[in-house]
Amino acid sequence: MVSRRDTVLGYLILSLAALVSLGPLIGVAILALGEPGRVGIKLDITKATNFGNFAEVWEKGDFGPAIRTSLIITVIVVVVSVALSIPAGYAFAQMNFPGRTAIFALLVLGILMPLESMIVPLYLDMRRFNLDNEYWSVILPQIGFSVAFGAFWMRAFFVQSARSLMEAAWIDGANSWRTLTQVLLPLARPQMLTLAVLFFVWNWNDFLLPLVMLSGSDLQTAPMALVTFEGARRTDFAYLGAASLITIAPVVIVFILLQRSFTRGILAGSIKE
Amino acid sequence: MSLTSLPVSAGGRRTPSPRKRVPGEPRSVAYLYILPALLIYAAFVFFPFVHSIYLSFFEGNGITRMEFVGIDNYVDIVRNPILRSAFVHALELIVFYSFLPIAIGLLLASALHRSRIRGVAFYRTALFLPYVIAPTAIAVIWRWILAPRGPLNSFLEAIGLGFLAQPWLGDFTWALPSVGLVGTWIMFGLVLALLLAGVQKIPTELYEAARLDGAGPWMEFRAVTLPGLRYELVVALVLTVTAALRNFDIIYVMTSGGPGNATVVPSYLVYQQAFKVSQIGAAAAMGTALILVIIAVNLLISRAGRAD
Amino acid sequence: MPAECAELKVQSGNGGSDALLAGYEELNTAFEAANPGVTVDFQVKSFNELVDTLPLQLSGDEVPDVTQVNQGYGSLGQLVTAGLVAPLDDVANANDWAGRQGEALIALNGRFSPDGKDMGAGDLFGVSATGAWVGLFMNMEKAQEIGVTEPPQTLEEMEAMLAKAKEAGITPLMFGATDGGEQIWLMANLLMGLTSPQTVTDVINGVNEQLPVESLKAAEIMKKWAEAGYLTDGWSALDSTEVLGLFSEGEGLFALNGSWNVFQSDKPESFRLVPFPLAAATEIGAIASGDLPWSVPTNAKCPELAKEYINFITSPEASEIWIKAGQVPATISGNEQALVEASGLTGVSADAILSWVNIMTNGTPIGFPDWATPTWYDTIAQSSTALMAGEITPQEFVEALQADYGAFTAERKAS
Repeated sequence: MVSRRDTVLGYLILSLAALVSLGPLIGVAILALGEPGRVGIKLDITKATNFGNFAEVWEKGDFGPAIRTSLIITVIVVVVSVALSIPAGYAFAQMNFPGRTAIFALLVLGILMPLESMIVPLYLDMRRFNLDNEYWSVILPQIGFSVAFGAFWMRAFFVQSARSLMEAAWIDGANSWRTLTQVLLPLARPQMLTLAVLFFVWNWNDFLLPLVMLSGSDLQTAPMALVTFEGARRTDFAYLGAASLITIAPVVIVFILLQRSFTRGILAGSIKE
Repeated sequence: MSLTSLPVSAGGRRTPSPRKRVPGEPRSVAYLYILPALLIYAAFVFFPFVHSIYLSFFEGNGITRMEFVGIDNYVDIVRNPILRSAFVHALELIVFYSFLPIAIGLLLASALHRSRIRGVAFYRTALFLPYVIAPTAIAVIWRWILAPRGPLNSFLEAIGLGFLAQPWLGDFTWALPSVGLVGTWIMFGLVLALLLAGVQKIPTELYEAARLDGAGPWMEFRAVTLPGLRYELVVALVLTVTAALRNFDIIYVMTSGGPGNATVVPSYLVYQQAFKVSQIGAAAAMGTALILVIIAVNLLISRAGRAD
Repeated sequence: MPAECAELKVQSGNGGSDALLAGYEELNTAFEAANPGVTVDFQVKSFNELVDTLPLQLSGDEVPDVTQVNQGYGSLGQLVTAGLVAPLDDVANANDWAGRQGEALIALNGRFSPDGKDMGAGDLFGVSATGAWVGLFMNMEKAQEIGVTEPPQTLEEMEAMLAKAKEAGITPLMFGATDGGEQIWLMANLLMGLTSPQTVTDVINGVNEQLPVESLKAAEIMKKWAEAGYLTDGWSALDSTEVLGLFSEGEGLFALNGSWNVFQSDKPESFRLVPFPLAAATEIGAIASGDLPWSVPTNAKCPELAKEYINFITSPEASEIWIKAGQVPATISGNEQALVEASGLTGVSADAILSWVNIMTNGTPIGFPDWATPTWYDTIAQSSTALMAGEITPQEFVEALQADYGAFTAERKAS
């Protein structure tokens, strides 16, 4: 049924779509390597050799400390959120307890809640407890938002995981914790990895929360450093291109390495039950 | 943060039957499993949500005493043309973030349903990339592309269409569509990959049957492709509509709501009112209204997905 | 000196202004040398970051000893009302700050009634170290092409030059609107030309609830200039910095910009920076305030040392360091001319300092219009973009400004 014409057409359409997606990014790469300090930029690939732009931007935009801050925050958020999502998802899927449906609904509501709406009270509350301008002021809300999705995502896995396996474990005398850690978790690796990649991408890219929480301190995340740099040098487009690439590099690397996990997460999107 | 993946069937249409509990364990053990996640969620998501609703009934700068004003802040959202326009803009952005990518995705996916493509991983990576990279970086990149003397205008001039060149982000007519088209760029690859994965799961027999019945391409699309993609369409709608309604970073970096108020959106106004002009109550009301809109729209989508 | 004052926490909002920061760095070293055992912990934020976070920061526990603040009812006024900054009158009187900078400048930068309700008179809550003024940058080479050899003395002369430049194919006024500042400066300068510097000062201080009737005429001129094509192509999407960059590379006849943005050029003598012309050639007036004033938070741990620091960076001795760093000192020492020459400053860099001295000694400095209400910056910026893009009429423009201004001023007076 698959004709050669259809296949050629398929490649053509997909390649065109990929080009549209990648075009601006390729343009920025050429821009970032171009001659710095020119207002009216004309892209010239033959002159895209100014690798020094990256060093310059790294230095001037304080990207070293910013990437470090972003890594500290993101890694803690990813590890803690995954760790908390697993038992929560497990309990929602496999245990029966009063209030289960209501609590789960409450938690899932968090997936819909936009951070933008909560930013004002969050800031006031953090300040009241003197947590503003600390790593925690970003980490804790990010974990809060992350576990809402995480519990939902892990529950979907545990709902499907083989009942017979669990019952066998119980017969062997394993309690619920051992069943989880020794029987189910090894099977859940792909789901955990997907969750970790999604958390990494979301939290690395987050801008509003650190902008509000950390702006009274020296701490800034990579996206904040990019925006600050952009505010100070709005027209040094070569530098801005380099700064953008520095900011997105960690996520792009993680994404390309773990593309399958990410794709699975998004394509499954919400899980078919 | 962009936690935009949504449980289409939140709570589950098919709630799993209550499990037997592990012999010898009390039921309340379950609470130990959910407690850590729930506590952090309650303290840093749910409590602020409630606090936001509370604040929205007050007026003040958050330093000196706040004054109770009832629903005045909400009345303002309806009455004040600038505040109201923010929601109108958000709805317009849905066209660009959601409808346009889905239209493109449907068109291409249905054209592709008979192709068997190798190297899907590469294409997926490319198509997903705009969705994965930081919106702040996307905004910086597109501000450059759309600059008055930027590559887009240079390109138009080079191909003899110089009369089309615009100060895109500074033009009252074009600024919002320009920002919107950035959203289209972010979303179309994601939506296409999503629909492509869906369309390849539709059994080819259905298409054959449709053809035997004498269905043309349009009928084939209506009768086979569209119903087969129902689930993927719901996911795509949820992801893209939510992104359109939130959309803080892009506006903050690209236009700051300008020119005039041509691109103000609710999330930007929340930030602006709270942190630029210290109107905490008005900002909280705007934020709460935004939550309500997002939840309502998402419920609408899920319902449409089910009723179909 | 209390032991905990070994470190003085200073917070600046001059992020991005490398030359200014270099001057502060030098002054900090000098201050440390003059106060053995004290180190200055100098924290730098961007302007927006500073302004956005100050009220909340100063009401918390972790406050700096000295901080820059932004002038105006929405910024410093709010801090004064909330009791978050302390009066500086004792140190000011002891060291004759009014003599150093002139009472007009001192008052417009830092004086407020103790409740923060009235600006421009009362206690002193902040003082500037460097001057910041808005003027007309002019490309004299381009001027010669249209037969002009001197900067315009009156608004009328300027309009004639704009028209000539347009005819000659030169962009008459390099203009960028995305940051909003240029529209606001243009509006204020035109209004000052149609009325007087004192009238605009009264507007900024909110003396009356009604804007002067000449506001409409100012709006009409703005609209006329935009429609006549006097502004840079794509002005509504261009940035102030961007257009000044283009101007410094030789594009355009005039640019409206701040003295803090003076640029280096291969041909310094071909650029001038002068006060925007008023109605009569004899009048001199300009938006000429200090840069962000320095204040001492009420909760500062080392208020005495903090005041000493402010006194130090605004001293006549510090002025020399500022001029050597190519900056405009707020404090006038009297030998600027010699110092400018000794420092090798030419072109607009020299004009920035010498015209400042001229405005301070022979003219009237006024503040920035957006100080008048917390939201006026955005209101003027957005409305004037709409006005100049033909989206609203001059009448609607004035109504939008009046609505914001009248409401805030009335409320301020009533409470």
